[in-house]
Amino acid sequence: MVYIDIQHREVTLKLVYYGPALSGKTTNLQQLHQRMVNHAGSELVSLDTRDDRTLFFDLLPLEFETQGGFKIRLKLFTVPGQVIHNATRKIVLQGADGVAFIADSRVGQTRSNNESFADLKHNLREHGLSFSDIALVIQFNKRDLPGIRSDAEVKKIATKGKEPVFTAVAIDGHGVAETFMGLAALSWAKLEAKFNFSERFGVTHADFMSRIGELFEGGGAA
Amino acid sequence: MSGGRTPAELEPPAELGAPDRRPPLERLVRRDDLARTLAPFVELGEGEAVDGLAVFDRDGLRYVQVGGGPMQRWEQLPPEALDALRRVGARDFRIGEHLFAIRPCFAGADRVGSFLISSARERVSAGSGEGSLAALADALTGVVGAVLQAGFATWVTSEMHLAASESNYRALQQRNAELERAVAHLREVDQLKSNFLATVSHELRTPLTSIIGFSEMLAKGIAGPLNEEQTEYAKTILDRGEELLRLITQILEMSKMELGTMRLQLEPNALADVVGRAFSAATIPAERARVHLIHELDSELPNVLIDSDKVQQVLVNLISNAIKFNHAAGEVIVRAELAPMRRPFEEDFFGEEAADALRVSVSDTGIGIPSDQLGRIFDAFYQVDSSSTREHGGAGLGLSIVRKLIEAHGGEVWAESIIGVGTTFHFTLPIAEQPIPKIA
Repeated sequence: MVYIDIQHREVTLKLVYYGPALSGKTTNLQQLHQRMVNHAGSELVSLDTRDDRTLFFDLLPLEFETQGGFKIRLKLFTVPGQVIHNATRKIVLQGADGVAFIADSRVGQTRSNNESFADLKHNLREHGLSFSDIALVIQFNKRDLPGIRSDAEVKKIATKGKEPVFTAVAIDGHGVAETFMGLAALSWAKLEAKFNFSERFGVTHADFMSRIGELFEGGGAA
Repeated sequence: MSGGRTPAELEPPAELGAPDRRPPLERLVRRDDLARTLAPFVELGEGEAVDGLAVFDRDGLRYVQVGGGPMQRWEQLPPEALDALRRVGARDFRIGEHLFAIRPCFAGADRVGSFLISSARERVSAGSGEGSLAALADALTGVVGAVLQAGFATWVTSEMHLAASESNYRALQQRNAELERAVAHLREVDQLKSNFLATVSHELRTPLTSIIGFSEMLAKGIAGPLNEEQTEYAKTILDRGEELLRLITQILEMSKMELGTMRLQLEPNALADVVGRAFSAATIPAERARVHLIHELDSELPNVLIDSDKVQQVLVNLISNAIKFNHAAGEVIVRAELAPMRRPFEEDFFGEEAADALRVSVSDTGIGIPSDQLGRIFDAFYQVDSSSTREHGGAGLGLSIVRKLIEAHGGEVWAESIIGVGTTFHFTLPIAEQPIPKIA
């Protein structure tokens, strides 16, 4: 749930990267971090990993100011994908404003994608939420691997829901920024509809998005 | 101005999970440790005219202070200083003879406090002044930040541990209760099974062989001619005896499977052949019940890698159930299609799984199974109608054997049913990699 601090003119959004085990959630965050490396306050916090698998979560905090000195903070989390860590997943998911579902494009991983998607639905329901309450975007990751769903198939899947769908090769950084921007835009739009930021604080969607875009500029990624 | 806030505008933090909570400073770093870390900088900064360092918490209360100067009388300082702490004033400011620089301190994503450095103005050397103090403030904030960041990682790890174990503990308690119920249920079932197996021993089969043998001799008139009615009776004894023998064999088979002594002889087979053999075994009961056996099998279907005897047994079990619970002039239809090995999942957003198996379906037009029973029908000794006055016989082992055999092949078996319309059993079988030349 968005945290609005009127006194300090500050809004905090929570965005969560969800998905099956080894689909590349942490890689997404690492790549984002790499591209924004020159920005203050964006230290990637990685907690307790074993064999390079996420046990609790990774956290990438971002912060910027919009016109009129309104401060926006974004907290990007990943969840552990392995089935047994559901307790942790549920805790991290609590109060999320937006979710990026990172799916593995390989046909053989269809079942785990579906299972994790159902798990997301289930965990949201336990927090009293449904897909329509949060901003959800979907990323088909690992587009460089063999045995993946074709672009046409991805397009077909995309038409099934109203969630924006992105394709990515997170390990090379392709599509990572696009997914994040899509998630940020949709999350903001959802909150805008609910809290009317533009009227109350003079923060427009265009302003918000241009600040997000600025995060990537001069970040070392040419 | 942001003064006009009402309580309703403040978003309630609700129940924040560990990742969202803001740790208090004392949970991140101990006062003594922080003071010890900062103290040398005041001494070192003597030439630079630094006379005091302090860290304030989020509410503007002093947490740690080293050195002397105006920091010791902070509470009596003019409002500029307090405003700076509340983040409404300038970050670098001067009060009287003193220069101040204030910097936010972060842990994770949140501002947890402020760092303040002060310097006696007259001692600042010409040419450096506020600029050098700001640079020093940035550098020291980095040091404090690193300390807090390390503290934050430890704090959030322990919080997550705590939260995860709390939630695991609740889940465990629930599981324990479920398990206790399950154990009670299992004991009951186990008792049932032991009783069954105890009764069905060699002792039971021996007299049965005599019953079957002698009634067969009677029916065939070997012991002298019988009239029509007597022959009928003898035949009934024979039929029933054989039925009993089948039951006993099933039970023994089941116990063999549970002991894990079953071996599969996997070979590429055409499914149509196996279905054909299962149909011929079921012809007589089907005719007796006036049920039609139909198969709709595509000739293009790939071969399956199976133990054909075992799969035939699966089919016979399912088909005889389908006959048994059908109505007169009903149908039993066997179909097959390419499908994923695993049963359909509630969620299919990411599309169908790869069709790497053959899904065989046996449908009837019978009485149907209530949906709350569908999950249990594969349990050993489970009967949908377990009353003593039930219409249909059997030990409740057929489907349990079916499941064991299919799972041994790496497949899955499940059922769908509509009351009054019929039931369909599905099972999956692995496809043979290479097509085998057909033997005529």
